[in-house]
Amino acid sequence: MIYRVTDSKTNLTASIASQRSRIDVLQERLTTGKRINRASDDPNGAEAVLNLRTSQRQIEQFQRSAQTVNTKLTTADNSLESYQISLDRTRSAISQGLNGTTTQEAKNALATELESLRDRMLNIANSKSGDEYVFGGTRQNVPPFDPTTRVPATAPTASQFVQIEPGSNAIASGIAADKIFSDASSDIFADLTAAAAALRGTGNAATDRATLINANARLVVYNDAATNARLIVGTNMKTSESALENLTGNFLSLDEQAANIEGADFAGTALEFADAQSSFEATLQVAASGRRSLFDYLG
Amino acid sequence: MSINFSAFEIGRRALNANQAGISITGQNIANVNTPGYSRQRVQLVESAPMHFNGYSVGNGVTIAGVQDFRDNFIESRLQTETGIAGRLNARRDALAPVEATLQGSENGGLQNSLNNFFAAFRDLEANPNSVALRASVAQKGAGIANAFQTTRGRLGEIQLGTDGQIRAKLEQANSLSEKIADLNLKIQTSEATGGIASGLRDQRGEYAKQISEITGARATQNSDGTLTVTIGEGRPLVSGEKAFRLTVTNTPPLGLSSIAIDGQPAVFDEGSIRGLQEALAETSKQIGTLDGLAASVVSRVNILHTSGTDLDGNAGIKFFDDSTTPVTAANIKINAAITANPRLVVASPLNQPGQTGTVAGAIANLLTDQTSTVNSQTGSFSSIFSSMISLAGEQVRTADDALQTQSAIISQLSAQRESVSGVSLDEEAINLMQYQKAYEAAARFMKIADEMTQTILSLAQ
Repeated sequence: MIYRVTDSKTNLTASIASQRSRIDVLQERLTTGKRINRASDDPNGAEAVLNLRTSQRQIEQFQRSAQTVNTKLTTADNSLESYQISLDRTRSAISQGLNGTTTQEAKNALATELESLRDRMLNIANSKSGDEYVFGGTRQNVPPFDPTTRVPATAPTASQFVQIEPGSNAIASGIAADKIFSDASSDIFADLTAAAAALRGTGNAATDRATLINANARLVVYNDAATNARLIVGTNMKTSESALENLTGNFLSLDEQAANIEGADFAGTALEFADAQSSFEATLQVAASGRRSLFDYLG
Repeated sequence: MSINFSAFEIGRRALNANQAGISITGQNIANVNTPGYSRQRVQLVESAPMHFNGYSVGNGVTIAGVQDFRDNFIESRLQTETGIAGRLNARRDALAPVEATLQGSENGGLQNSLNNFFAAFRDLEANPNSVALRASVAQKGAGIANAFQTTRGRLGEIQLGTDGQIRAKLEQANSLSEKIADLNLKIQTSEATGGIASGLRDQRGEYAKQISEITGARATQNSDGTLTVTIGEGRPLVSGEKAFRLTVTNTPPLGLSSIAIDGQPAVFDEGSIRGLQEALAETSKQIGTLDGLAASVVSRVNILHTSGTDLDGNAGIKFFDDSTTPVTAANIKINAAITANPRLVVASPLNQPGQTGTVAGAIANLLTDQTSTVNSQTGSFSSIFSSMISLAGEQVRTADDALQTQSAIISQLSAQRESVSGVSLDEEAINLMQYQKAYEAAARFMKIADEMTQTILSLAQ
C-alpha cells in the first residue's frame, strides 16, 4: 500500500492510455464482427480459422469441378439418348427392308433414310461440349471419327478422370467413343453404310439379305453398348450430384466452425464497450477536474 | 547589565534557516513535475550552546545540510524492470510488421495466392483440354511467384529496418554513457568540496533509467559517489568518469550489425537492443521458412509437371524455373517458356499404374498434401504457411501480454518511488506556511532585540 500520495500524474496517464487501447480493441470487434482480426488476437484460433478457410476454398474448387463433371455427364447422357432413339429407328428401317413385300423403290427410300440416320449418329459421336469432344476421352486433338470418311481415329484414348471431392478417387467425366460406336470387329457407320448398299441392291440378293440380317444383329450389340454407357454415365452423374450435396453441407459446416472461433459475441462485446466507455469518461472527468491542494484554499 | 549581541546572532541564524527552508520548499514546488526529481528538505540542528557564567545558553539553529529523499533499492528495481519493459516493447513493435506482412490483406497476400494457384490446376483438371484455363494457370503461377517475392522483400525490409533501429539505439546508449560519466565527475567534485549534488544525482538517475531501458544495464552506487553502469557479463558501460563506447561492425552476407564493447562481443540481458536483436533473429527464421516453402513448392510442382505430357503430347517441362540455386522466395519464377506458350501446361493422366486422375489434379492436391517438407517441418503447404502466421502472432501476443504485466509492475514501482521521492503540494504548502511563520517570528524577535538594545543604549545618554 502506498502511504504517501503525491501530485504525480504518471499513473493517470498510463490508465487513460490503457483504457483507450481497450476501447479500440472492442470497437474493432464491433466493426468487423470478429474476435480475431489478426493472428496475435488469438494465435491458435487464427491458425485454426486459416486452415478452415483453406478447406473452404478447396471445397469451392471441388464444387466447380463436380458441377463441370455433372454438366459433361448430362450432355453425354442426352447424346446417348438421342443415339439410342436413332438406333431404334435404324432397326425399324432395316426390318422393313428385310420384309419381302417391300418394293425396290421403298428400299431405296429406306437406304436414304439409313444414310441420314448414320450421318446423324456420326454428328452425335463427334459432338462437342465447349472445346471438348463429348466422346473423345483423353484424345481431344482429333474427332473420334473422321467427318468425311467416317473412319475411327487410330490414336488410343481412355476416359478422363476428375477428382470431385477431397480425398476421394477421381471419377470418369465421360465415356470414350470406342466403347459405344464401335468394337473390335466393326463400327456402326461401316455397318449402316453396308446396310444402305444392301437395300439398294448389290446384284446378289442372298448377300444383301445376309448383310441386312448382320446389320440388325450388330444394332443389338450397339444398343447394349449404349445402354451400358448410359449406366456408367448415370452412376457417375449420381455420384457428382451426391458430391455437390456433400460439398455444400461441408462448406456450411466449416463456415460455422470458423464463425464460432473468430466471430465476436455482439451482445457481450457491446456491453463491454459501453462499460469501457463509461470508465474512460469517468477517468477523463477526474483528470479534468484535477486534485485540489492546500494552495487552493490559502489566500 | 550588558548588551545581548548574541540575540542578534540567534535571530540572524533563524532568518537564514527559515529562508533556506522557504527556498528548498520553492525548489520542490518548482520541480513537482520534473521526471526523476527527488524532493529535498533542509536539515536544521540546534547550534552548539554558549557557556555563560556556569550555565548553557542556546545559540540558535544551524543548517546541517539538505536531505534528499531517495530509495536506492526502489531506483535499482525500477531500472531493472524498465530494462525488461524495453526489451518486450521493442520485440513487440519489431515483430508486429512481420505478422502483418505474413497475414496479408483479406483478398491479397501469399495465402490467397497459394490458394488461387492450386485452384487454377483444379479447374484445369476438370477441363484438361482448355487453353484458356492453361493461360489462367500460367497467370496464377506468375502470381504466386510475385507474392513470394513481395512477401520476402517486405520481410527483408523489416529486417534491415530493425537493424537500423539497433544502430540508432546504440548511438543513444553511447550518448547517455558519456553524460553519466560526465555527471559522475561533477558529483564527485561537488561532494568532495562539501557541495550538494542532489539535482545532479537526480539527473544521473534519470539517464541511468534511460540507458537501462535501451541496454538493460545495471547501475551500482559506489562509495565515492560515482555510478558504475554494466551490461551483460558485467562489462562496464560507465566506470567512474570513463564511458566505454559500444561499436558496431557489419556482418556478411547482409551487413547486419554486430555489437562489441572494448573489443569484445557485447551481450545484452534486457533492454530494447536485446528485444530488437531477438526480433531480428525471429524475422530471419521466418525468412528461412519462407524460402524453404518456395523451394518445396517449386520442387514438388516441377516433379509432377515433368511426369506428364502437354496439350500437344510433348513431355512436360518444368513449370518453375529452378536454374538459380538455391531456389528461394526472392528468386522463384515461372518458366518463361510456359508464360510464352500456355499449351505447355500439363494436365495429362497420371502415368502411374493403378492411379486414376491427372497431373493437374495431383498438383492441385499439393496444397493440402500433408507430406510436404519445409526445413524441418512436415505438413501441407497451406498448414505450414498458416503455422508461420500463427507463430508470428504468438510472438507478438506473448510480448504484449508480458508487457501489460510489466507495465503494472512499473506502475507499482513508480508509485512507490513517488511515495518516497515525489513532491506533495499539500506538504509543501504546510512547510511554506511553517517556514514563513517562523521567518516572521524571527524577524519580530530581531526587532524586539533591537528595541531592547536601543533602550540600553539610551540609558547611557
